[in-house]
Amino acid sequence: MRFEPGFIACYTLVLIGGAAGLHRLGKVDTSPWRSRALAGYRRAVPDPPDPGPPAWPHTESGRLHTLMALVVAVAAVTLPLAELLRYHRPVEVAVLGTVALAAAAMVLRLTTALRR
Amino acid sequence: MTSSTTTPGRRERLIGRGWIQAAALITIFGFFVLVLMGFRTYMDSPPIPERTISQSGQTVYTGDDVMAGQDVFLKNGLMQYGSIFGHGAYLGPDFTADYLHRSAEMVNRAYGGADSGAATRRTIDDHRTNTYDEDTGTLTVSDAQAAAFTELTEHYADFFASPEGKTGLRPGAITDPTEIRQLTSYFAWSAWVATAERPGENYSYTNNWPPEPLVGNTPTADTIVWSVISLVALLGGTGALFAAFGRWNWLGWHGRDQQELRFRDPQTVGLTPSQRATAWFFFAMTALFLVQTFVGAASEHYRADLNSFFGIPLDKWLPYNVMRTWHVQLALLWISTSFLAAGIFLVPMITRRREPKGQALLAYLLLGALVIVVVGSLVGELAGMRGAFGDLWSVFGMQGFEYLDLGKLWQVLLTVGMVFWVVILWRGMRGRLAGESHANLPWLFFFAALALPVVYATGLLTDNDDVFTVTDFWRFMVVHLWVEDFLELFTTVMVAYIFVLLGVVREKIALRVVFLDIVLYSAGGVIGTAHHWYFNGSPASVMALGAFFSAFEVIPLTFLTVEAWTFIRLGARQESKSPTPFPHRWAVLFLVAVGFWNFLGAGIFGFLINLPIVSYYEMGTGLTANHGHAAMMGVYGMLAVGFAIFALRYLVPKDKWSDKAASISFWSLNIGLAWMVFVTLLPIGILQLHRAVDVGYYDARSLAYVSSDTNTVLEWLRLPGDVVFIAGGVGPLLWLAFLGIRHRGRHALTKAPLQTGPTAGTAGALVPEPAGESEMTLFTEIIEPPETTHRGS
Ligand code: HEM
Ligand SMILES: [Fe+2]
Repeated sequence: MRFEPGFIACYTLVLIGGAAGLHRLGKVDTSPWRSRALAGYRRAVPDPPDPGPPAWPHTESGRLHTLMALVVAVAAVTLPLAELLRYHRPVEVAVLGTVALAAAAMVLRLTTALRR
Repeated sequence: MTSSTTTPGRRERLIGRGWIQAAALITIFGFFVLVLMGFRTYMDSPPIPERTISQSGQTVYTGDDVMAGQDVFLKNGLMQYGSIFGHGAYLGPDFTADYLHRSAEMVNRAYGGADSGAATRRTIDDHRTNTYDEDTGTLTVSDAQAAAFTELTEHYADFFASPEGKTGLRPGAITDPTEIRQLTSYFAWSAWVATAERPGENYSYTNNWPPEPLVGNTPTADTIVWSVISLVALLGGTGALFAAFGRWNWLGWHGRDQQELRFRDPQTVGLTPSQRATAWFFFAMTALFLVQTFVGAASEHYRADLNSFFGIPLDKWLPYNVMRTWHVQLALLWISTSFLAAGIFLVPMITRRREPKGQALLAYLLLGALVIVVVGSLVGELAGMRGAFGDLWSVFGMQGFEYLDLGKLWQVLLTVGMVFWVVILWRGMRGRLAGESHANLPWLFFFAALALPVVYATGLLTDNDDVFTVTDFWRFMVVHLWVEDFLELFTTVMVAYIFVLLGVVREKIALRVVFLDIVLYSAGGVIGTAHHWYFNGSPASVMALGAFFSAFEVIPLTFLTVEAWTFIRLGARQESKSPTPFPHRWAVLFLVAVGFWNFLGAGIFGFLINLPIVSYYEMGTGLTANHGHAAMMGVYGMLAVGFAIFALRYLVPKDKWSDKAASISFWSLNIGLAWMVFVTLLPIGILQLHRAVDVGYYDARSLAYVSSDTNTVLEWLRLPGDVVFIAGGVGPLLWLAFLGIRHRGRHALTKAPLQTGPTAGTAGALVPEPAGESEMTLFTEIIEPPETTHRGS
């Protein structure tokens, strides 16, 4: 395993993790009633009103995160594949192929999430 | 809401005194320390020896040579090609590290070569021992160092005069032997500064930057200690802020908001002549944006393929340094154009009155002046780098400081233009301001606007006749203080105000957010400027202050991002109540993107390179480009586009407006930017950092490394993202802006006669109207239910 494909494999793993992180960040509930900025208020008011279902633009903010995560995931597929063209000793093919597959799985997951 | 006022005739202050005191205190403290650091920079900047002689008594170079060399460096745009003290562009080498490494190798060889321990020791001694005699102004270097100087003069002569190019510079860029000698003197001096120990210290003037084992340049104890402290400051500060937020009801949110909003159809909002004039601003902005992306693509091509531009000898006319200068300058220019226009567009909405006569004319004059500055400065930079203008090169041509590349004349004109813009705002708002407390939104809007030319003007103090360390102090007033403090403030004020005018945020809450912002950003941002001065010849105390305070900058970026959505959400809840649809979906989405990139580009990628120990190896490499793009385009670029979309919504008639175009532009800009960052800039940056630590900074910055196969592959891979960004992102925007100038809000003039007399109020008191003056139609009609109207406070 040479340095460059090794690096790209690691970087791809970082990207997959980053994509998962971004997707999650987009799902963080930022309802004003749960916001940290209003924690003091919440303590003073025992029963805050029902925040209701997530409303626009929060749904879009979630979409932006998921879409950015998708871009990251597609990048994570592209990089090891591009690297495979340059480096194809058996170990390299195995490692790069595996991370590319993992990234592809992430792409699939995010596309499904985005369609919903 | 009528209320008792403390000052007769003025509307009462809507925010507690404590907020104002906190903001004032923190800002004053910040600037006090900043001035102190400036003072220390002036006192402790490295000397320029009058004469540098060899041990055998020959003059190597003089102080005049060094200063003349700095001029050659600047006017040829070399700071937009490579860097000095790590500051500048990233294609060419860092000339400090380049000279130092080459010279150290030659000296080492002269003493017997790499295998000899004695040679290594002598090389280190030659470089580290500070032989500068302050009384005579004489620096004495070893004969080996003097011989290296002669040899390197030839090397740089070959490099800069190279007739076949392939360096990214114009073929035969600098051929005059005197200029080459002066340039080499400048590099030699910078390498001396980087290695000679400060009197009384065991590290060099630059805190041992660049890393170079041959001369014993390794991270100083301060560099390591302050990195750790900076990290602790970030974690501790974040924890403290969350704890504080858990304790108090900071935003003064009082539960359910019962007011009813009716968003006016943009079609029916009548615009004033100056508002209509902004259509041309937004068109100019998008056109400049397009050109900026084209010259950016050309710069990028040099990184992907130094040897040829598809067979066209592009480097003859538009070499890398010209392309990058334009790319960087246009970024500032198009974004500023949008901000100027947004300010002009908002004023009549803030005053809710007809504007004084001639506002539109003044706006057009401003735009005309702007066009002159843009064209004049860009052409000046091109001509200046080709040697035009003689002694007046720094006035008309390429002044050469990265980000302040434009000639002094253009720099002055731009500053005057911004002042002129403030005057336009003042004319429009005078009546309204007279009736307002200085701590309320209208004044804050005015102050935030005023700060822009004031801070930009400090950049005028850069002077090519000063020591680099001193000029760099002033340069970062614009590069840092603008983007990391005052533009963030201007942004918050503008966005908060737009939301107030749309009726989706209460004025009191908006004010608190603005003040919270002033406190949080100024706490880190002002003193944090010093994170650019770790290694430029400033004393170690400056590094310590920079490392400690810049850590606090990250807190609002990560924290406010999440909260900002809450803040928007307050509006969104009410939006659903409006019987008319909310017209600014896409403008608000651009603001959501601003929040996202503030978090990722400025917060995460900024902090990634912020610790002194990281910066020590990283400065001037790909991770800076990674951060610079994600933060500059992601935050201020997206914001500028958001402003444009907001205003264009009123300037373009309903049947011509295309939400589709706005949507394509939005997604394409974000996808293109993310692709650029994750496929190219970030991996290239990490690899380069690894190389700098592993092999050496000098090597990581060499042309051979930058154009290596690995990099080339990654550089080409960004192409699809760039295409999406330019074609899908800028294209539709240009179309919308074109519709803007075609229609310029004419439709509303006939269809919606101005309403007279006070109608519904914004969240706040009505300003007394002079009799007979008609009121502007607002964006939104706000109907306050009687039971939630609070009286007094
Ligand atoms: C929206 C806010 C920001 C923008 C627009 C921005 C933009 C930039 C740009 C364009 C550069 C390149 C300067 C050059 O090449 O000389 C830069 C450098 C830098 N930025 Fe930021 N920045 C922002 C926020 C931050 C934050 C919050 C931090 C960390 C606390 C940070 C840390 C740095 C550092 C350490 C450098 C120097 C890198 C070097 O010298 O190579 N920035 N920034
Ligand atoms: Fe900065």
